[in-house]
Amino acid sequence: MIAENTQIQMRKGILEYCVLSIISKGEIYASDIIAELKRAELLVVEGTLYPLLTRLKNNGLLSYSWKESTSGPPRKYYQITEEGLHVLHRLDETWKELVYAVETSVAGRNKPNEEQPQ
Amino acid sequence: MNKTIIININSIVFHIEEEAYEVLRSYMIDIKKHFAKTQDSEEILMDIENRIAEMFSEKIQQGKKEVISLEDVHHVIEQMGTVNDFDIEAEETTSQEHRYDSQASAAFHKKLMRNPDDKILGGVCSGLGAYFGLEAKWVRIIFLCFFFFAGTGFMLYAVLWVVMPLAVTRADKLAMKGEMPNLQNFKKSFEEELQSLDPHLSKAKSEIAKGTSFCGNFICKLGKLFAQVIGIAVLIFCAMTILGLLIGCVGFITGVLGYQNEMVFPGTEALPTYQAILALVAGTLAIAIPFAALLHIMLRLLFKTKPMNTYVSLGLWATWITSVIAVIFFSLMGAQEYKESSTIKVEKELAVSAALSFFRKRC
Repeated sequence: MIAENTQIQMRKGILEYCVLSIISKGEIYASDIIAELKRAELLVVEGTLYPLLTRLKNNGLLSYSWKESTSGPPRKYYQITEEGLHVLHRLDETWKELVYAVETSVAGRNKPNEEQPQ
Repeated sequence: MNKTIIININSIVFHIEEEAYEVLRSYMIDIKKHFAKTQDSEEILMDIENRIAEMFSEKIQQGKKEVISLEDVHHVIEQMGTVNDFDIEAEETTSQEHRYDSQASAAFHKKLMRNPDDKILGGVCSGLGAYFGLEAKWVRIIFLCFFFFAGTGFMLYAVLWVVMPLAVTRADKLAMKGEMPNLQNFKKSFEEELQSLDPHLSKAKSEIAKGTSFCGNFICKLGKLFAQVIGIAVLIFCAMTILGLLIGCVGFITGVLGYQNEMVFPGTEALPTYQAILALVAGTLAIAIPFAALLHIMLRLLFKTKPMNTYVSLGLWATWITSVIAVIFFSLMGAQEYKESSTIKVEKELAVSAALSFFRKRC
Protein backbone atom coordinates (compact mmCIF):
# COMPACT_ATOMS: atom_id res chain seq x y z
CA MET A 1 0.00 0.00 0.00
CA ILE A 2 2.83 2.40 0.89
CA ALA A 3 4.56 1.58 -2.37
CA GLU A 4 1.36 2.30 -4.27
CA ASN A 5 0.85 5.62 -2.52
CA THR A 6 4.37 6.69 -3.35
CA GLN A 7 3.92 5.63 -6.95
CA ILE A 8 0.71 7.65 -7.20
CA GLN A 9 2.41 10.71 -5.73
CA MET A 10 5.38 10.37 -8.09
CA ARG A 11 3.18 9.96 -11.17
CA LYS A 12 0.91 12.79 -10.14
CA GLY A 13 3.71 15.35 -10.10
CA ILE A 14 5.29 14.05 -13.26
CA LEU A 15 1.96 14.00 -15.11
CA GLU A 16 1.49 17.71 -14.49
CA TYR A 17 5.01 18.46 -15.63
CA CYS A 18 4.58 16.38 -18.79
CA VAL A 19 1.20 17.88 -19.63
CA LEU A 20 2.53 21.42 -19.21
CA SER A 21 5.54 20.57 -21.38
CA ILE A 22 3.35 19.09 -24.11
CA ILE A 23 1.06 22.12 -24.14
CA SER A 24 4.02 24.51 -24.20
CA LYS A 25 4.88 23.19 -27.67
CA GLY A 26 1.79 24.86 -29.08
CA GLU A 27 -2.00 24.83 -29.14
CA ILE A 28 -3.27 21.34 -28.58
CA TYR A 29 -6.49 19.41 -28.10
CA ALA A 30 -7.09 17.20 -25.05
CA SER A 31 -7.19 13.90 -26.93
CA ASP A 32 -3.95 14.83 -28.72
CA ILE A 33 -2.38 15.38 -25.32
CA ILE A 34 -3.46 11.83 -24.45
CA ALA A 35 -1.90 10.58 -27.67
CA GLU A 36 1.37 12.33 -26.79
CA LEU A 37 1.30 10.87 -23.29
CA LYS A 38 0.66 7.41 -24.73
CA ARG A 39 3.63 7.87 -27.01
CA ALA A 40 5.66 8.76 -23.93
CA GLU A 41 4.33 5.58 -22.31
CA LEU A 42 2.78 7.49 -19.46
CA LEU A 43 -0.47 5.60 -19.22
CA VAL A 44 -3.50 7.68 -18.40
CA VAL A 45 -7.13 7.59 -19.38
CA GLU A 46 -8.79 10.72 -20.73
CA GLY A 47 -10.93 11.07 -17.64
CA THR A 48 -7.88 11.86 -15.52
CA LEU A 49 -6.76 14.62 -17.83
CA TYR A 50 -9.81 16.89 -17.71
CA PRO A 51 -9.67 17.65 -13.98
CA LEU A 52 -5.96 18.33 -14.30
CA LEU A 53 -6.43 20.70 -17.26
CA THR A 54 -9.24 22.52 -15.48
CA ARG A 55 -7.10 22.98 -12.39
CA LEU A 56 -4.12 24.25 -14.38
CA LYS A 57 -6.40 26.60 -16.29
CA ASN A 58 -7.99 27.96 -13.11
CA ASN A 59 -4.53 28.62 -11.69
CA GLY A 60 -3.81 30.72 -14.75
CA LEU A 61 -1.19 28.41 -16.25
CA LEU A 62 -3.30 27.55 -19.27
CA SER A 63 -5.85 29.25 -21.43
CA TYR A 64 -8.10 27.77 -24.05
CA SER A 65 -10.02 28.77 -27.12
CA TRP A 66 -12.97 27.12 -28.81
CA LYS A 67 -12.47 25.87 -32.33
CA GLU A 68 -14.96 24.40 -34.75
CA SER A 69 -14.55 20.75 -35.47
CA THR A 70 -15.54 18.70 -38.49
CA SER A 71 -16.73 15.90 -36.26
CA GLY A 72 -18.96 16.74 -33.37
CA PRO A 73 -19.04 19.73 -31.05
CA PRO A 74 -16.49 22.56 -31.01
CA ARG A 75 -13.21 21.64 -29.34
CA LYS A 76 -11.29 23.29 -26.54
CA TYR A 77 -7.73 23.94 -27.62
CA TYR A 78 -5.34 24.56 -24.76
CA GLN A 79 -2.50 27.00 -24.81
CA ILE A 80 0.14 27.83 -22.23
CA THR A 81 0.14 31.31 -20.67
CA GLU A 82 3.05 33.54 -19.65
CA GLU A 83 2.58 32.43 -16.09
CA GLY A 84 2.46 28.81 -17.23
CA LEU A 85 5.77 29.22 -19.03
CA HIS A 86 7.25 30.75 -15.91
CA VAL A 87 6.05 27.82 -13.81
CA LEU A 88 7.32 25.39 -16.45
CA HIS A 89 10.82 26.89 -16.27
CA ARG A 90 10.81 26.51 -12.53
CA LEU A 91 9.65 22.93 -12.90
CA ASP A 92 12.46 22.32 -15.41
CA GLU A 93 14.96 23.40 -12.78
CA THR A 94 13.32 21.33 -10.09
CA TRP A 95 13.31 18.35 -12.43
CA LYS A 96 17.02 18.71 -13.08
CA GLU A 97 17.65 18.86 -9.36
CA LEU A 98 15.49 15.80 -8.86
CA VAL A 99 17.21 13.86 -11.62
CA TYR A 100 20.57 14.71 -10.09
CA ALA A 101 19.32 13.77 -6.61
CA VAL A 102 17.91 10.47 -7.78
CA GLU A 103 20.91 9.58 -9.91
CA THR A 104 23.29 10.34 -7.09
CA SER A 105 21.26 8.39 -4.59
CA VAL A 106 20.68 5.44 -6.86
CA ALA A 107 24.27 5.32 -8.20
CA GLY A 108 26.17 2.33 -6.85
CA ARG A 109 23.15 0.98 -5.11
CA ASN A 110 23.29 -2.34 -6.89
CA LYS A 111 26.97 -2.96 -6.20
CA PRO A 112 26.92 -3.73 -2.48
CA ASN A 113 23.80 -5.82 -2.99
CA GLU A 114 25.56 -7.96 -5.54
CA GLU A 115 28.50 -8.46 -3.25
CA GLN A 116 26.42 -9.27 -0.23
CA PRO A 117 23.18 -10.75 -1.38
CA GLN A 118 20.68 -11.07 1.42
CA MET B 1 -34.52 -5.42 -33.96
CA ASN B 2 -33.59 -3.09 -31.12
CA LYS B 3 -35.28 -0.22 -29.45
CA THR B 4 -33.37 3.05 -29.60
CA ILE B 5 -33.47 6.07 -27.39
CA ILE B 6 -32.77 9.63 -28.47
CA ILE B 7 -30.38 11.48 -26.22
CA ASN B 8 -28.74 14.83 -26.45
CA ILE B 9 -25.23 15.50 -25.22
CA ASN B 10 -24.40 19.19 -25.18
CA SER B 11 -27.10 19.86 -27.76
CA ILE B 12 -26.01 17.19 -30.21
CA VAL B 13 -28.60 14.51 -30.83
CA PHE B 14 -27.71 10.82 -30.85
CA HIS B 15 -29.73 7.70 -31.32
CA ILE B 16 -28.57 5.11 -28.87
CA GLU B 17 -29.60 1.52 -28.24
CA GLU B 18 -31.54 1.02 -25.04
CA GLU B 19 -28.95 -1.31 -23.52
CA ALA B 20 -26.12 1.05 -24.41
CA TYR B 21 -28.06 3.93 -22.92
CA GLU B 22 -28.37 2.16 -19.56
CA VAL B 23 -24.61 1.58 -19.46
CA LEU B 24 -23.81 5.14 -20.46
CA ARG B 25 -26.25 6.52 -17.93
CA SER B 26 -24.81 4.60 -15.01
CA TYR B 27 -21.31 5.57 -16.16
CA MET B 28 -22.20 9.26 -16.19
CA ILE B 29 -23.81 8.97 -12.77
CA ASP B 30 -20.62 7.39 -11.42
CA ILE B 31 -18.56 10.19 -12.87
CA LYS B 32 -20.87 12.85 -11.51
CA LYS B 33 -20.65 11.30 -8.06
CA HIS B 34 -16.88 11.10 -8.33
CA PHE B 35 -16.40 14.75 -9.20
CA ALA B 36 -19.22 16.03 -7.02
CA LYS B 37 -16.85 16.96 -4.23
CA THR B 38 -14.23 18.66 -6.39
CA GLN B 39 -14.27 22.26 -7.43
CA ASP B 40 -15.22 23.09 -11.01
CA SER B 41 -17.05 19.78 -11.29
CA GLU B 42 -19.39 21.36 -13.83
CA GLU B 43 -16.61 22.32 -16.16
CA ILE B 44 -14.92 18.93 -15.88
CA LEU B 45 -18.20 17.13 -16.55
CA MET B 46 -18.87 19.40 -19.50
CA ASP B 47 -15.43 18.59 -20.95
CA ILE B 48 -16.04 14.89 -20.50
CA GLU B 49 -19.50 15.07 -22.03
CA ASN B 50 -18.17 17.06 -24.95
CA ARG B 51 -15.49 14.50 -25.57
CA ILE B 52 -17.98 11.65 -25.37
CA ALA B 53 -20.19 13.47 -27.87
CA GLU B 54 -17.21 13.87 -30.15
CA MET B 55 -16.25 10.22 -29.91
CA PHE B 56 -19.83 9.22 -30.70
CA SER B 57 -19.84 11.49 -33.74
CA GLU B 58 -16.61 9.88 -34.91
CA LYS B 59 -18.10 6.42 -34.45
CA ILE B 60 -21.14 7.38 -36.49
CA GLN B 61 -19.08 8.88 -39.28
CA GLN B 62 -16.58 6.04 -39.40
CA GLY B 63 -19.12 3.26 -39.15
CA LYS B 64 -21.53 4.94 -41.56
CA LYS B 65 -24.35 4.09 -39.19
CA GLU B 66 -26.99 5.99 -37.30
CA VAL B 67 -27.19 4.34 -33.94
CA ILE B 68 -24.71 4.13 -31.06
CA SER B 69 -24.35 0.51 -29.98
CA LEU B 70 -23.31 -1.02 -26.67
CA GLU B 71 -19.91 -1.80 -28.15
CA ASP B 72 -19.37 1.88 -28.94
CA VAL B 73 -20.25 2.88 -25.41
CA HIS B 74 -17.86 0.29 -23.97
CA HIS B 75 -15.15 1.55 -26.25
CA VAL B 76 -15.72 5.14 -25.18
CA ILE B 77 -15.71 4.19 -21.51
CA GLU B 78 -12.48 2.27 -21.99
CA GLN B 79 -10.85 5.28 -23.56
CA MET B 80 -12.22 7.72 -21.02
CA GLY B 81 -11.49 5.41 -18.10
CA THR B 82 -13.80 4.52 -15.25
CA VAL B 83 -13.95 6.17 -11.88
CA ASN B 84 -11.65 3.47 -10.52
CA ASP B 85 -9.03 4.40 -13.10
CA PHE B 86 -9.21 7.99 -11.95
CA ASP B 87 -8.54 6.86 -8.42
CA ILE B 88 -5.54 4.81 -9.39
CA GLU B 89 -3.79 7.26 -11.66
CA ALA B 90 -3.95 10.82 -10.47
CA GLU B 91 -7.06 12.02 -8.83
CA GLU B 92 -8.28 15.40 -7.89
CA THR B 93 -8.95 15.36 -4.22
CA THR B 94 -9.52 18.18 -1.87
CA SER B 95 -7.85 16.45 1.02
CA GLN B 96 -5.86 13.43 2.00
CA GLU B 97 -8.72 12.05 4.06
CA HIS B 98 -11.00 12.06 1.09
CA ARG B 99 -8.62 9.84 -0.78
CA TYR B 100 -8.53 7.36 2.04
CA ASP B 101 -12.31 7.41 2.02
CA SER B 102 -12.66 6.76 -1.65
CA GLN B 103 -10.09 4.01 -1.58
CA ALA B 104 -11.81 2.33 1.30
CA SER B 105 -15.16 2.52 -0.40
CA ALA B 106 -13.67 1.33 -3.68
CA ALA B 107 -12.41 -1.74 -1.86
CA PHE B 108 -15.72 -2.24 -0.16
CA HIS B 109 -17.54 -2.23 -3.47
CA LYS B 110 -15.90 -5.37 -4.69
CA LYS B 111 -17.90 -6.32 -7.71
CA LEU B 112 -19.13 -9.73 -8.67
CA MET B 113 -18.27 -10.20 -12.31
CA ARG B 114 -17.60 -13.03 -14.67
CA ASN B 115 -13.92 -13.54 -15.23
CA PRO B 116 -13.10 -13.89 -18.93
CA ASP B 117 -9.47 -14.81 -18.23
CA ASP B 118 -10.21 -18.00 -16.33
CA LYS B 119 -13.31 -19.71 -17.54
CA ILE B 120 -14.72 -23.08 -18.44
CA LEU B 121 -18.27 -22.10 -19.31
CA GLY B 122 -19.06 -18.49 -18.55
CA GLY B 123 -16.41 -17.59 -16.00
CA VAL B 124 -19.05 -17.60 -13.26
CA CYS B 125 -17.10 -19.82 -10.88
CA SER B 126 -13.82 -17.96 -11.12
CA GLY B 127 -15.73 -14.69 -10.71
CA LEU B 128 -17.39 -16.06 -7.58
CA GLY B 129 -14.01 -17.29 -6.39
CA ALA B 130 -12.49 -13.86 -6.81
CA TYR B 131 -15.42 -12.34 -4.97
CA PHE B 132 -15.24 -14.63 -1.96
CA GLY B 133 -11.47 -15.02 -2.00
CA LEU B 134 -11.58 -18.70 -2.88
CA GLU B 135 -9.75 -20.54 -5.59
CA ALA B 136 -11.91 -21.07 -8.65
CA LYS B 137 -11.50 -24.85 -8.48
CA TRP B 138 -13.21 -25.06 -5.07
CA VAL B 139 -16.17 -23.05 -6.31
CA ARG B 140 -16.37 -25.36 -9.30
CA ILE B 141 -16.37 -28.42 -7.05
CA ILE B 142 -19.15 -26.90 -4.91
CA PHE B 143 -21.19 -26.23 -8.03
CA LEU B 144 -20.59 -29.75 -9.29
CA CYS B 145 -21.86 -31.11 -5.96
CA PHE B 146 -24.99 -28.98 -6.25
CA PHE B 147 -25.64 -30.34 -9.74
CA PHE B 148 -26.57 -33.63 -8.12
CA PHE B 149 -29.17 -32.01 -5.88
CA ALA B 150 -31.98 -32.03 -8.40
CA GLY B 151 -30.03 -29.73 -10.69
CA THR B 152 -29.98 -26.84 -8.21
CA GLY B 153 -26.43 -26.04 -9.27
CA PHE B 154 -27.48 -25.83 -12.87
CA MET B 155 -30.30 -23.41 -12.10
CA LEU B 156 -28.11 -21.26 -9.89
CA TYR B 157 -25.37 -21.25 -12.51
CA ALA B 158 -27.76 -20.19 -15.24
CA VAL B 159 -29.17 -17.39 -13.09
CA LEU B 160 -25.71 -16.16 -12.13
CA TRP B 161 -24.52 -16.29 -15.72
CA VAL B 162 -27.36 -13.99 -16.70
CA VAL B 163 -27.01 -11.70 -13.72
CA MET B 164 -23.24 -11.31 -13.45
CA PRO B 165 -21.72 -8.86 -15.92
CA LEU B 166 -18.53 -9.78 -17.76
CA ALA B 167 -15.39 -8.02 -16.56
CA VAL B 168 -14.23 -6.26 -19.71
CA THR B 169 -11.97 -3.38 -18.82
CA ARG B 170 -8.90 -3.25 -16.64
CA ALA B 171 -10.86 -1.42 -13.96
CA ASP B 172 -13.59 -4.06 -14.07
CA LYS B 173 -11.05 -6.75 -13.42
CA LEU B 174 -9.55 -4.76 -10.56
CA ALA B 175 -13.02 -4.24 -9.12
CA MET B 176 -13.66 -7.93 -9.49
CA LYS B 177 -10.57 -8.87 -7.51
CA GLY B 178 -11.04 -5.90 -5.20
CA GLU B 179 -8.06 -4.43 -3.46
CA MET B 180 -8.36 -4.64 0.26
CA PRO B 181 -6.97 -1.40 1.68
CA ASN B 182 -10.01 -0.92 3.88
CA LEU B 183 -9.51 0.12 7.49
CA GLN B 184 -7.07 2.68 6.15
CA ASN B 185 -8.78 5.35 8.18
CA PHE B 186 -8.74 3.23 11.24
CA LYS B 187 -5.07 2.39 10.89
CA LYS B 188 -4.16 5.96 10.10
CA SER B 189 -5.85 7.45 13.14
CA PHE B 190 -4.37 4.70 15.27
CA GLU B 191 -0.87 5.50 14.07
CA GLU B 192 -1.37 9.21 14.62
CA GLU B 193 -2.47 8.51 18.14
CA LEU B 194 0.61 6.44 18.80
CA GLN B 195 2.90 9.05 17.35
CA SER B 196 1.93 11.42 20.13
CA LEU B 197 3.07 8.77 22.62
CA ASP B 198 6.58 7.79 23.65
CA PRO B 199 8.94 7.30 20.71
CA HIS B 200 10.23 4.17 22.43
CA LEU B 201 6.97 2.61 21.56
CA SER B 202 7.73 2.83 17.87
CA LYS B 203 8.62 -0.80 17.57
CA ALA B 204 5.66 -1.92 19.56
CA LYS B 205 3.60 0.47 17.50
CA SER B 206 4.33 -1.24 14.25
CA GLU B 207 3.64 -4.63 15.80
CA ILE B 208 0.37 -3.45 17.32
CA ALA B 209 -0.64 -1.71 14.14
CA LYS B 210 -0.01 -4.91 12.25
CA GLY B 211 -2.01 -6.86 14.82
CA THR B 212 -4.94 -4.46 14.86
CA SER B 213 -5.17 -4.19 11.14
CA PHE B 214 -5.10 -7.96 10.96
CA CYS B 215 -7.77 -8.32 13.63
CA GLY B 216 -9.86 -5.56 12.13
CA ASN B 217 -9.58 -7.14 8.74
CA PHE B 218 -10.45 -10.49 10.17
CA ILE B 219 -13.54 -9.26 12.04
CA CYS B 220 -14.64 -7.22 9.08
CA LYS B 221 -14.23 -10.19 6.76
CA LEU B 222 -15.97 -12.51 9.19
CA GLY B 223 -18.93 -10.15 9.52
CA LYS B 224 -19.17 -9.79 5.79
CA LEU B 225 -18.90 -13.53 5.29
CA PHE B 226 -21.64 -14.11 7.87
CA ALA B 227 -23.94 -11.61 6.17
CA GLN B 228 -23.19 -13.17 2.83
CA VAL B 229 -23.89 -16.68 4.09
CA ILE B 230 -27.27 -15.55 5.43
CA GLY B 231 -27.94 -13.73 2.20
CA ILE B 232 -27.13 -16.80 0.15
CA ALA B 233 -29.30 -18.94 2.42
CA VAL B 234 -32.23 -16.57 1.82
CA LEU B 235 -31.43 -16.63 -1.88
CA ILE B 236 -31.51 -20.41 -2.05
CA PHE B 237 -34.63 -20.49 0.13
CA CYS B 238 -36.42 -18.10 -2.24
CA ALA B 239 -35.32 -20.03 -5.31
CA MET B 240 -36.47 -23.32 -3.79
CA THR B 241 -39.80 -21.82 -2.72
CA ILE B 242 -40.46 -20.56 -6.21
CA LEU B 243 -39.47 -23.91 -7.67
CA GLY B 244 -41.74 -25.68 -5.16
CA LEU B 245 -44.63 -23.39 -5.97
CA LEU B 246 -44.21 -24.06 -9.68
CA ILE B 247 -44.10 -27.81 -9.17
CA GLY B 248 -47.12 -27.59 -6.86
CA CYS B 249 -49.02 -25.50 -9.38
CA VAL B 250 -48.35 -27.98 -12.19
CA GLY B 251 -49.34 -30.85 -9.89
CA PHE B 252 -52.62 -29.26 -8.86
CA ILE B 253 -53.47 -28.33 -12.43
CA THR B 254 -52.98 -31.90 -13.61
CA GLY B 255 -55.16 -32.92 -10.66
CA VAL B 256 -57.88 -30.54 -11.77
CA LEU B 257 -57.63 -31.80 -15.34
CA GLY B 258 -58.49 -35.21 -14.01
CA TYR B 259 -55.18 -37.02 -14.33
CA GLN B 260 -54.60 -39.71 -11.82
CA ASN B 261 -52.82 -38.12 -8.92
CA GLU B 262 -53.31 -37.45 -5.29
CA MET B 263 -52.87 -33.71 -5.52
CA VAL B 264 -56.16 -31.92 -5.27
CA PHE B 265 -56.20 -28.42 -3.93
CA PRO B 266 -59.10 -28.15 -1.48
CA GLY B 267 -61.94 -26.15 -2.92
CA THR B 268 -60.95 -26.33 -6.56
CA GLU B 269 -63.38 -29.14 -7.22
CA ALA B 270 -66.15 -26.67 -6.54
CA LEU B 271 -65.11 -24.55 -9.55
CA PRO B 272 -65.36 -25.32 -13.26
CA THR B 273 -62.09 -26.62 -14.74
CA TYR B 274 -60.89 -23.48 -16.48
CA GLN B 275 -61.64 -21.34 -13.42
CA ALA B 276 -59.84 -23.80 -11.18
CA ILE B 277 -56.74 -23.58 -13.39
CA LEU B 278 -56.91 -19.80 -13.42
CA ALA B 279 -57.29 -19.77 -9.64
CA LEU B 280 -54.29 -22.04 -9.19
CA VAL B 281 -52.09 -19.99 -11.52
CA ALA B 282 -53.17 -16.76 -9.83
CA GLY B 283 -52.48 -18.24 -6.42
CA THR B 284 -49.04 -19.39 -7.45
CA LEU B 285 -48.20 -15.99 -8.89
CA ALA B 286 -49.54 -14.18 -5.83
CA ILE B 287 -47.13 -16.10 -3.62
CA ALA B 288 -44.22 -16.47 -6.03
CA ILE B 289 -43.87 -12.84 -7.07
CA PRO B 290 -43.04 -11.52 -3.56
CA PHE B 291 -40.48 -14.33 -3.26
CA ALA B 292 -39.07 -13.40 -6.65
CA ALA B 293 -38.83 -9.79 -5.48
CA LEU B 294 -36.99 -10.90 -2.36
CA LEU B 295 -34.69 -13.01 -4.52
CA HIS B 296 -33.99 -10.02 -6.73
CA ILE B 297 -33.28 -7.76 -3.75
CA MET B 298 -30.89 -10.32 -2.26
CA LEU B 299 -29.11 -10.66 -5.59
CA ARG B 300 -28.78 -6.90 -5.78
CA LEU B 301 -27.49 -6.62 -2.22
CA LEU B 302 -25.07 -9.49 -2.52
CA PHE B 303 -23.73 -9.02 -5.99
CA LYS B 304 -24.46 -5.37 -6.74
CA THR B 305 -26.30 -6.27 -9.88
CA LYS B 306 -28.17 -3.82 -12.02
CA PRO B 307 -31.60 -2.62 -10.90
CA MET B 308 -34.59 -4.14 -12.63
CA ASN B 309 -35.95 -2.56 -15.76
CA THR B 310 -38.82 -0.21 -14.86
CA TYR B 311 -41.22 -1.87 -17.29
CA VAL B 312 -40.48 -5.31 -15.93
CA SER B 313 -40.98 -4.23 -12.32
CA LEU B 314 -44.22 -2.39 -13.15
CA GLY B 315 -45.40 -5.43 -15.07
CA LEU B 316 -44.65 -7.65 -12.10
CA TRP B 317 -46.56 -5.31 -9.78
CA ALA B 318 -49.56 -5.35 -12.08
CA THR B 319 -49.43 -9.15 -12.38
CA TRP B 320 -49.21 -9.53 -8.65
CA ILE B 321 -52.14 -7.25 -7.92
CA THR B 322 -54.22 -8.94 -10.62
CA SER B 323 -53.47 -12.36 -9.24
CA VAL B 324 -54.27 -11.34 -5.68
CA ILE B 325 -57.61 -9.98 -6.88
CA ALA B 326 -58.19 -13.17 -8.88
CA VAL B 327 -57.45 -15.32 -5.84
CA ILE B 328 -59.92 -13.37 -3.73
CA PHE B 329 -62.52 -13.59 -6.50
CA PHE B 330 -62.14 -17.33 -6.98
CA SER B 331 -62.14 -17.94 -3.23
CA LEU B 332 -65.46 -16.17 -2.99
CA MET B 333 -66.75 -18.13 -5.98
CA GLY B 334 -65.68 -21.36 -4.33
CA ALA B 335 -67.17 -20.35 -1.02
CA GLN B 336 -70.49 -19.64 -2.75
CA GLU B 337 -70.71 -23.30 -3.73
CA TYR B 338 -70.63 -24.32 -0.11
CA LYS B 339 -73.23 -21.86 0.96
CA GLU B 340 -76.28 -24.04 1.65
CA SER B 341 -78.65 -23.30 4.39
CA SER B 342 -79.99 -26.20 6.40
CA THR B 343 -81.66 -26.52 9.71
CA ILE B 344 -81.87 -29.50 11.93
CA LYS B 345 -84.82 -29.74 14.18
CA VAL B 346 -84.72 -32.23 16.96
CA GLU B 347 -87.54 -32.71 19.38
CA LYS B 348 -86.96 -34.69 22.47
CA GLU B 349 -89.40 -35.71 25.13
CA LEU B 350 -87.90 -34.88 28.51
CA ALA B 351 -88.91 -36.62 31.70
CA VAL B 352 -90.07 -33.35 33.24
CA SER B 353 -92.91 -34.53 35.46
CA ALA B 354 -90.67 -36.33 37.98
CA ALA B 355 -88.40 -33.32 38.39
CA LEU B 356 -91.32 -30.96 38.83
CA SER B 357 -92.92 -33.06 41.51
CA PHE B 358 -89.56 -33.10 43.29
CA PHE B 359 -89.37 -29.28 43.37
CA ARG B 360 -92.94 -28.95 44.51
CA LYS B 361 -92.25 -31.13 47.45
CA ARG B 362 -89.29 -28.99 48.51
CA CYS B 363 -91.31 -25.79 48.23
